[in-house]
Amino acid sequence: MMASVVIGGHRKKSLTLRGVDPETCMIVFKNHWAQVVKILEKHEPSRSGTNALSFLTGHGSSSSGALRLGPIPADEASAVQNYVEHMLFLLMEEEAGQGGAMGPILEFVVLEGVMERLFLWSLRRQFTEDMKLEQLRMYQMLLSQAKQPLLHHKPVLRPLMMLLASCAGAASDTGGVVEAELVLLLNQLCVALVKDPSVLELFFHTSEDQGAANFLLFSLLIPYTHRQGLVGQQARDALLLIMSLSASEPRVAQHIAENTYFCPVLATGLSGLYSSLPARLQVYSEDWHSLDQADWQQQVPALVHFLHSLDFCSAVTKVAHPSIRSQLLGYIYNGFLVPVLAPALHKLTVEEVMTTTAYLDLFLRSISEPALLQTFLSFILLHTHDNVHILDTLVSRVNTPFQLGTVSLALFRTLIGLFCEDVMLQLVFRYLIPCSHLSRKQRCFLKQRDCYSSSAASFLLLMPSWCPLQLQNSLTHSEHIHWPKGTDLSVSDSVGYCRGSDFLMDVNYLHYLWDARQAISTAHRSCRLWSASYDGINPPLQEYRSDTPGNNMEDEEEFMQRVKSDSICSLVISPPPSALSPTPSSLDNSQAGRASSALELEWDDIFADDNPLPSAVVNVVLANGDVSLEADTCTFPPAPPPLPPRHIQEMRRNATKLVRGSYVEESEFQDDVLVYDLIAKKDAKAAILDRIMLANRQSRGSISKGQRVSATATTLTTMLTTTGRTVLETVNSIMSARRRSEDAGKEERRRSEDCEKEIGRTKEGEEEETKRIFGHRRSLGDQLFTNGFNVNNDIIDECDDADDDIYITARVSHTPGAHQQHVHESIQSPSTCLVRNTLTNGHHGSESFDRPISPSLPDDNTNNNDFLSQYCELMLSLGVEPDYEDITEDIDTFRKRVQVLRQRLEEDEEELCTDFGFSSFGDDVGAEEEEEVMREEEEAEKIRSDTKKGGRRHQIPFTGILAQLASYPQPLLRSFLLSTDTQNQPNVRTLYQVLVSLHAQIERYVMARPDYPALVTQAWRFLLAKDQDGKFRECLQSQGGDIILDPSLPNGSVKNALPLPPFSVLPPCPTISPQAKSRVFAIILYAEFLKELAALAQEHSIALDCYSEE
Amino acid sequence: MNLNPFWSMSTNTSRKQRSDNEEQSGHGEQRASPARMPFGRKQLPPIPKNAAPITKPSPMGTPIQSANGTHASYGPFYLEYSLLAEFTLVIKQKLPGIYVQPSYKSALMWFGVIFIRHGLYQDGVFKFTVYIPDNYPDGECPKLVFDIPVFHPLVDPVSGELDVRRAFTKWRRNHNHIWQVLMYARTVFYKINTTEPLNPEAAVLYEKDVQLFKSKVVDSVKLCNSHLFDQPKIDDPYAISFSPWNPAVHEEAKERMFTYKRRPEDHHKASQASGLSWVKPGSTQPFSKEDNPPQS
Repeated sequence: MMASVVIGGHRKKSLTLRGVDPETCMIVFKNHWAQVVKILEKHEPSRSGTNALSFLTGHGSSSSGALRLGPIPADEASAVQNYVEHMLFLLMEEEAGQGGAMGPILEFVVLEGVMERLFLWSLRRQFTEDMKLEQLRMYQMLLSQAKQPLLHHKPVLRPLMMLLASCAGAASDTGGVVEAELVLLLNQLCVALVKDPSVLELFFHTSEDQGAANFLLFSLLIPYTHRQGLVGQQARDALLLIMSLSASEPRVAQHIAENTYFCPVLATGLSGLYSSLPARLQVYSEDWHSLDQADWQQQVPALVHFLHSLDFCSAVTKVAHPSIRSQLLGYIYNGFLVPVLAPALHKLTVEEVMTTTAYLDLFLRSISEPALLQTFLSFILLHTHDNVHILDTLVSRVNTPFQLGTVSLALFRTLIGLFCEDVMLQLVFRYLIPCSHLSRKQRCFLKQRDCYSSSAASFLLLMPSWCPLQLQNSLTHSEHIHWPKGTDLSVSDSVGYCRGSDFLMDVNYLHYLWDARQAISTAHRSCRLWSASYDGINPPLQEYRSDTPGNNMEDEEEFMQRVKSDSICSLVISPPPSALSPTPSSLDNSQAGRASSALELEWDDIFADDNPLPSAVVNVVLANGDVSLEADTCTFPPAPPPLPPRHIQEMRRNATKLVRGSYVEESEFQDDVLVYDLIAKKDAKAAILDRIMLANRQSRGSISKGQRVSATATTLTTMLTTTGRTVLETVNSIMSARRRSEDAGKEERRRSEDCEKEIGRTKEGEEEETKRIFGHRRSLGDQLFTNGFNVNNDIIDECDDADDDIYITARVSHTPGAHQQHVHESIQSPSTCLVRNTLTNGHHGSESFDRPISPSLPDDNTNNNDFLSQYCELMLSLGVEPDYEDITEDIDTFRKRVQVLRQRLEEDEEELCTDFGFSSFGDDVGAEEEEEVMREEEEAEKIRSDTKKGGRRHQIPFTGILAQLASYPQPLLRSFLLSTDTQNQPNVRTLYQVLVSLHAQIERYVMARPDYPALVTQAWRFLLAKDQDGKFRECLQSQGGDIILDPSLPNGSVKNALPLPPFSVLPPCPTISPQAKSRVFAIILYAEFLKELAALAQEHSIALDCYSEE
Repeated sequence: MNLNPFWSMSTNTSRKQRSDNEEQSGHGEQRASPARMPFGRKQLPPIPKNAAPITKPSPMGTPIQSANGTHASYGPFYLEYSLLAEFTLVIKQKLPGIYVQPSYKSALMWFGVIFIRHGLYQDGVFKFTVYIPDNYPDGECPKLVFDIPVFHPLVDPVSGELDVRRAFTKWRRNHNHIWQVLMYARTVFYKINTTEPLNPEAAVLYEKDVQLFKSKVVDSVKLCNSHLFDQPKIDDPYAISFSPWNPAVHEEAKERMFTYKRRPEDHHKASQASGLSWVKPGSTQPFSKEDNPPQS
């Protein structure tokens, strides 16, 4: 065909015209044209080109053959082809005339309408795909090679536009070749357009002549927006060119925004592409928590496709005119995020939701353009789906079992890593701004630096006392510190452990410092754009959180209370009688203020609070504890309780399914559906509460003896209304209750498995759980937490010398933790169950007396026991796993073991964090730290609850999130996480306090086991060496390519240049009994986390506010 | 008060007379990290062991008593970071006419120079060294010793030590900072105090014969300035040394300093990182900035 000849021929002759006289060329051209015209005319009915063209405006009928008079002989066709080929060549080679005038050939082409006639000739000879290709390629060649501008001339441009128009209609039904050529040509045109925007005018006019779409070029490209492959890429490139043009050409922008469907196409395209994404991914492994490139690049082409389109949106947002940008963002928000992504985030199965969450995480990580990111973020932060903010839903998800929690956590990691003020404001700072967790004095010192590393010292003092890893060797031979060269890993590092010294342990802290320094300086730089410093002064205290609907009132009250009694203790321990009744609640006795305040403080606990409210015999904070105690105590009276409400039963059923191992996803999320359903009925809030409280009441009936039940219900409801509780909170409550019910359900299920015959007992369990569901809302720390951990304490004490027993009992103990882990494997004797119950009851009996005496002080035992019990559970779950039992020494199992170890590490991190979460969380409740608590809820809850749920699956290093947060420079956050000052906040549980209690607990535990220090040390060495080895290999691998290519290297190979230390030089991993493993590694992790925190604290103390020079 | 690019430059290249009237340039533009932070300069020795341990007592006074060796072994870190924190504070104070730089060899020794811009000691350029006790911050107050004993009632005419202790009778952690010592060193040249002098001659002269005192001060200033280009008294890579103006060496650095000064905003922008904010200043609402595209 002509095109091929044209392309081929061009190469042959490209140089032959140099120096040839232009006159000659002109003559040749004219001659050729004469020959062509002769043939053309022979086959034309009339000579009028314009007539012929007129029909073209309706290009759909162009190939109908109306003009064909008969078949054109092949020899004539090829003759024309040959002539045209030469002519085009001459045209391309022609230089522009003087002063930019047309060259003679071009002038001739323009005058004679050569291009138009050639196009008609194509039509004449059956306008086949081949013809189109021929024409398209002809123009491609002209455009790319012509030495003078051609597009300025209508006689050239017009047939081109007709050609384009005619290709548009046919594009869909062809094999794609035409499309490819068409898009390529369009791309060329766009390039030309951007280079010389003066042509733009012509483009508009030309198409106007035809009455077709105004800006044909653009309209033709739109269908290819979401195309994959080269065609799509070229089309998108071309569109981007036009977009960038639109930024400077208002006319283009206006046209695109007003007359085209570009933005809707883009946004709905996203929706379409999203819907073709797999609803469940096949890439789940146990430790999977976010989508890595490796996950999707190969296995999920649809995702690649989507990301391309997302990238394109991002790029358009970046370069396009503001009007287009805002239109596009609006469509993305209203056409993709809200109608597609929001429902997808609320799908019915855990797997689907998890997948969506992972997608969202990936999207956020992929978007580089701030404006588009902002759209996504405002969707997350501000959009409400069924009256729940997406953000709140996501936060609550962290609490969900299995991988959904981890995946959600990964999403939060991404969010936190954005250094976006808006995100952090919603997630953290709005709860800290009131400074209610700080005393006045602390508030004043908020901005002060910890000049003498006392925080770091406090953290490091918590290292296990027998900890063998001291820094003296490396640090003390000079009076100041030797810095490692950043993160570089020199060979000497790897030699270090080969020699068996503790070198790595020494270096280790320096690496932490270095990392902390990097993280802090990054955070500093990133937060420079922020509007406020969040230092307790700016923004001022009063302005906070008025955005959450319905919270204002509560906040005011809370604030009033804070004003009235600055002392947290006074509120909890000895509230000034009647002085505090700022709440216009329906309560009128002297306890009202206290009760209501507590209610506010623990709004999540609304369901537990009903009991004491009217009579207000006990301090409400204590009452919370009591409630749960009572709940447990009621194991004694085995009177079958009335059935819990339907949805609770439902939940329990689901949980039961979970426990059985036949994990039915659908049922899992029906709860959510139910919950959301409930929430949607905003008006019916009271009804919901009634319903829930009915259940509560029912289950507690035996204890509370029916007294004040109905009064309670109504009072509470009123109070809820008066205190302006939001639907949101209700949701939280319900969700949390649901969560807990799952736990409870599992437990119950397990128990029922074990004690199948003891129906009554099971029912007790049910009853207990039901109560716990309602009793423990939100102040997990205070209650459930307390209960569970104290119980564990007892258990551990009792079974200390019989490890197996520990596991069993610990498993039984109702730490909300990793129940489902045990579920799979546990075989448990009814007697244990009994033991547990007894313990529980006994303990709570005493607890309920203890607490009034020192109610506000965080109970260290509580935390300690939590830690250990979780240990036990985890160890159990891991140790019992058959996979890990028979570890032999070959490499495979070795690796497996390493993996297991890593898993455990992470679990233990979780434990740490749980602990942290729990305690910092629970103990706040007593104070007036509502916001605080909520903040922590966000932060800690996601950590805590994660821990609770799916132990092994949670592979995100939670300490990582904490460290990430701790590197933020804002004094409020920094002091919250890193302050070790315990003086003035007895009711605020800081991270430090949690660590202190962990420390005590570890000490106590290890003291009883003299072999532990050695064991831990050995394992520690192993892990550090392993870590270092990994880094080292990574380092080598990353350099690998370069080094290999470097011929100067003696052997041309990295391996020869820098031999990797073989695995054998790693210190041996000690053989630790499977039961002890998680304990050992948790201790190591604990210590490493201390180092990390200390390093962060130290680097904060020397951070300059300005890092501009870096 | 800053670690000036000039100093670090002069330590490596040549020496330069730092002109007295040079303004303090904004701190943001200067090397932000304290002198001892450049990681490239110091490197972990390959196998750090067997070195003579000089463990610091590490009197950190932390809430929990030091029950184990861990604490002591981290002592150097605490000391190092305490001093770095002090240095950071010094930088933030922007003390006029005072420059210090910790020595290479020890964080406990800082080199400094003070420019007196008016008053009796006008045009004086006094180099000094600050010695910080190694049990800092729980020890006594740091010592400040002028390289050349300045003729001043509070400066020991033999050792050159400034009587700092009178201002800091008891060094209190958290209350006293090294920048205060530096500040004090500056003040004494503007407000002459003659009680309990270390240099009784100067004190008496100041009381009895100000003219003679003045001329002695002028001589002292001249003496100091004439030794400006001397090698630093203490051989240390980070010691402050002066060299005569050499355009080939110094012009560029000066240019850079003044450019920064003129266009701090540009510089600021250029180095901005990825942080995001759509919060209107003064608001605590997300996406409260007005240029926010409407979303619904």
